Amino acid sequence: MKKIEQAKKQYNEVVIPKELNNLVLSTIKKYEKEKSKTSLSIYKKTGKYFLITAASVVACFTLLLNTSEAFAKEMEGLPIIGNIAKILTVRTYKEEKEGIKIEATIPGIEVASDSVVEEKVEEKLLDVNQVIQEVSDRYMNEAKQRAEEYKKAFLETGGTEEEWKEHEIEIKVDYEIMYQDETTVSFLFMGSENWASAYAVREYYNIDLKTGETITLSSRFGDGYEEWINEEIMSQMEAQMKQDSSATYWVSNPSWKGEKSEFDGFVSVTDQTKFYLNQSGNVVLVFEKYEVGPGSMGSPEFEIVPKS
Amino acid sequence: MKTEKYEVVTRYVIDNQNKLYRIAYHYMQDKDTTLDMVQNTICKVLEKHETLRSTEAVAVWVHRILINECMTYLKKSKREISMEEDDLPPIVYVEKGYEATEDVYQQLKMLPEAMQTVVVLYYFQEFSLSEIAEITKTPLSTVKTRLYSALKKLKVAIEKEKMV
Repeated sequence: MKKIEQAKKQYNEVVIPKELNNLVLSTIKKYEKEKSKTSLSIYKKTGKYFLITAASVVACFTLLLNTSEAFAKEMEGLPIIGNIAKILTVRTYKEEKEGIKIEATIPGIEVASDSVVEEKVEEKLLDVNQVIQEVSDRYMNEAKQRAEEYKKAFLETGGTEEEWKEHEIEIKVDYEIMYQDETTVSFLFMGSENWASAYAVREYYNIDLKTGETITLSSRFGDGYEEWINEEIMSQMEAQMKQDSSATYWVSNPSWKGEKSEFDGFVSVTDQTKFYLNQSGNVVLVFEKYEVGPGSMGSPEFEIVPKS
Repeated sequence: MKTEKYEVVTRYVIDNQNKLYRIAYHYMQDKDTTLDMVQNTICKVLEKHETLRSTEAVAVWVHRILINECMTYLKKSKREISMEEDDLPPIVYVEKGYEATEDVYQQLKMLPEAMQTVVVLYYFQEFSLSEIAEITKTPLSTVKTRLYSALKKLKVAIEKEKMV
């Protein structure tokens, strides 16, 4: 029956989210951890308020790979698992109170229990988690405060609770793994508020898992990278503007031969320039909106392919 | 203490996570709720793994719990589309060998859930009719009836659409 085959194809086409595997593994892990402590039910769901309890959060942090045989085998087979560490969700949090919805998926580095990294390195990697935790907590608190102030102002100016609810205020914290191999990891941490894009946070973390150090442009390309990378960026800008008449960049670098821009724009890359590693492991530089071009250019990105 | 049953259950959910996700997604049609359903199911099967009758029955057992979980959720959230027998188009005789390119999967989602479940389990998850009887805790004869009427209704629904 052909029609059923078509339907089956459609059924199978559903995208499997990449967090599924982590969710399955961490749920099993959590169960094992909880069970050794207490026989209480793992999940407590009350209405819309859903929070993975503190104890199980801690359990998530220490995901030991060799406690269950089936589990350990699974970990071995996964292509994304490096032999030192990997990125995974260490905390999820959902809350809805007074018409303000918070949804957070917070990443962290997980050091493999059978890895042979030095303690010093492991400590550094765990420090990164600390930083992420602080950044996300601070962001969530500030966003919540902004939402509450917004609500207060809204109600004071004659808005009703019902109308407020329709706003569907949402605060989101999430992450995305940009690149990962045995020794390197690059991921993006994102915080956003659906009513005020100006406060959105996008932070890239690029970490050398062998040393625990943050990868910088100079550690990646060596000293004196600025000049050739600047040339590369400007030639990419020029090519884009040639190809697409709506593309505009503002350049203030002295060696720029193109049209002088009316606004201050791109001067040079520095160790503060944001970047991530893409699927091919290449550095992609990311500039802020308005930093090197008008808002219509969004947040421009330039891939830097290493010179052979 | 890791028993054999425990190992079989964890192995099964790890190996079949995509399969479990797909079937839950069929009912939920939303990523986050589907992930919730899968997670709740894993919690339940782990908590109750000792009640698994035999290790061969693991697939049937996990599916039963997952489908129950989804059905309970749908009922609770009242998102269930009311589709009584009367609301459905009448069954008419359809010539065999007729081919249609219409979206059968969309039509399938319009059927009563009990019928959908039989079709999904039989054609997509490839369970036998007697396994489906166990998963849904219904007599084998009822499973057969549901499968046949589901297929008839799918043809009818498509035929109707085509004539418009």
